[in-house]
Amino acid sequence: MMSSDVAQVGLTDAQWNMAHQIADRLAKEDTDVNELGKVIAYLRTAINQYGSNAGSQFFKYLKTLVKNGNSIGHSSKTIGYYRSIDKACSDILQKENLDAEAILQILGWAARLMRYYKVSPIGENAEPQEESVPSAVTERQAAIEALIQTQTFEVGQMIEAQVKQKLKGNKVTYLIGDLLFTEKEAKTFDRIPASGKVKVEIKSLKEDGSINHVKFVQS
Amino acid sequence: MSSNPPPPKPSRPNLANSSPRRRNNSEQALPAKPYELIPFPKQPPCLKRPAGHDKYLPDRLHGTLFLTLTVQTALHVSTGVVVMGSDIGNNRIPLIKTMVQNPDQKLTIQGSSLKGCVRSVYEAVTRSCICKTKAKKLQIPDKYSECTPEPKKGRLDVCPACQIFGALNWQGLIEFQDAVCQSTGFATGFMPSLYRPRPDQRRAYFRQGKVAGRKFYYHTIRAIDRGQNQGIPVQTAAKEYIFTTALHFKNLTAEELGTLFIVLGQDPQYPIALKVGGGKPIGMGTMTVQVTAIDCIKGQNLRDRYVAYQSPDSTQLTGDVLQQLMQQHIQTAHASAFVEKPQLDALLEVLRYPTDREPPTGMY
Repeated sequence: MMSSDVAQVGLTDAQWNMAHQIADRLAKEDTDVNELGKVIAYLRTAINQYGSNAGSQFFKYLKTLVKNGNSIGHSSKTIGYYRSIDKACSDILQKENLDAEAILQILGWAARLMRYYKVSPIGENAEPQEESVPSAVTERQAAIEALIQTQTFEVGQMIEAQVKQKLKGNKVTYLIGDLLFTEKEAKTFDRIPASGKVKVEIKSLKEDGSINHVKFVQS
Repeated sequence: MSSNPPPPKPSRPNLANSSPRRRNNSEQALPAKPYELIPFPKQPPCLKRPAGHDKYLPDRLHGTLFLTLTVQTALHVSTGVVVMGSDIGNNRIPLIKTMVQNPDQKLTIQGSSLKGCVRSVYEAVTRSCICKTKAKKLQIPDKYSECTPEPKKGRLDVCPACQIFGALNWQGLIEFQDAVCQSTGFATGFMPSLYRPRPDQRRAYFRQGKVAGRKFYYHTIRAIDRGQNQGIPVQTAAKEYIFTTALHFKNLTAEELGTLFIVLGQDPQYPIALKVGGGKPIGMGTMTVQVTAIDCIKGQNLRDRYVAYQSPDSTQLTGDVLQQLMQQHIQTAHASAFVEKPQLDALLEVLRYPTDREPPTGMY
């Protein structure tokens, strides 16, 4: 066996093409990639056992799987997977008269590519996707944007806020514009009214200039 | 499309869409499960710094156990490859799942398979963590999370099982060799399609949102035979096949070695057998263990081994001397409370062998 042969390390363009074709076809037929993995495992052991004759044994094995798939499969879908794998391999690999080592490499790549094509089918990934993508701007981001545009903030600036809620753990929720800020007010919690307008100080800002944290100053 | 309709499937209970009440009723209507959940000890795992490998400690035990494993119900430890019958010299079978065979065509049980099997029992009867599990992190009971030693940070404390079987970043103190069948050849069995565990559908797996215990399958008088529509022939070691292996250990305490003997079924008060390989629910994989010899090195012998070119006279113990030594260590383990008695008693009811339990019929 010459599995480490330098000539076998890379695939030719034609062989790459075959790997892509198999992967694309199996992914579109919704074949279970694990079943392809099991077939590859057989081919690997067959190469150890039969050497150069492993290729013919492999195609015989695929036919046997299709014939007996009903009884060995765990679900009614398994036989369909075997049929898809057999057809793809027979159509794309068998006619090319490849040796077993090359088939092993092509199928190995096909299994990897299958996972990719399941997510991004071939020939469809070039289409523009923008229309279907929902707007990335959330309501909160829009409210922040609106608040920044109405006024500029500075650290230390006193602004008016409305007390929405007093929570457990000395936390207070303030409403500033359309935005809610929940702050820990350990020292002044008892002085803060349960509702109504209060003055707060801006303690820090975010990179975009919006408010990050505020602290209670006076009611 | 094939014109032949597929053969009827075995009636697998479909609990996915049933309401909790109905699901509960369905569970009650089903036959008894062929497994049991062994609850965890009341106290959490006791973590300790392991002995290490840098030297043979003079107050600890080192050596080799020579084991003979006898197959009691058909055994199949899979390679994961399904081949044609003709590939292994049987033209009558179209497809078969294979076992590992060594170059002499003798069936082999990978050391790692044996180790896992022994470890699971050892974990259950000591205050050990749950590390070999597919349960989600939040489902693991408090303080039972996997041991994570970090030698570089000086954090080495691990649970009793991780001390001797190893953990991530920590090599254990015992090594399992592959067990090789004494005879050439194999038998062909049949394994019906087995389905995945369904913890999402069976409440008994959890108690108050946490994993309820460690799962162990019962031994049965035989493995179920053909008669199922779905399934695949498997290469097996049949009843009475004998495997031999050796188990090397170093830096063990007397109670650790004693617990290992208990787990291997050498305590007459706790006659348990191992459950190895695939097909556990249908009764496969029961193996009894016999310790045929022990090569135990202690104290002065260690020095002799290092300084002499030729190894000193054999220190192998067999027969009555071996039995006495084993029972002595077993008693030490029981006396030190290293072994959790409630868990061991519960496990005995599941792993007791011989047994008169029948394998489950149909889907359980």
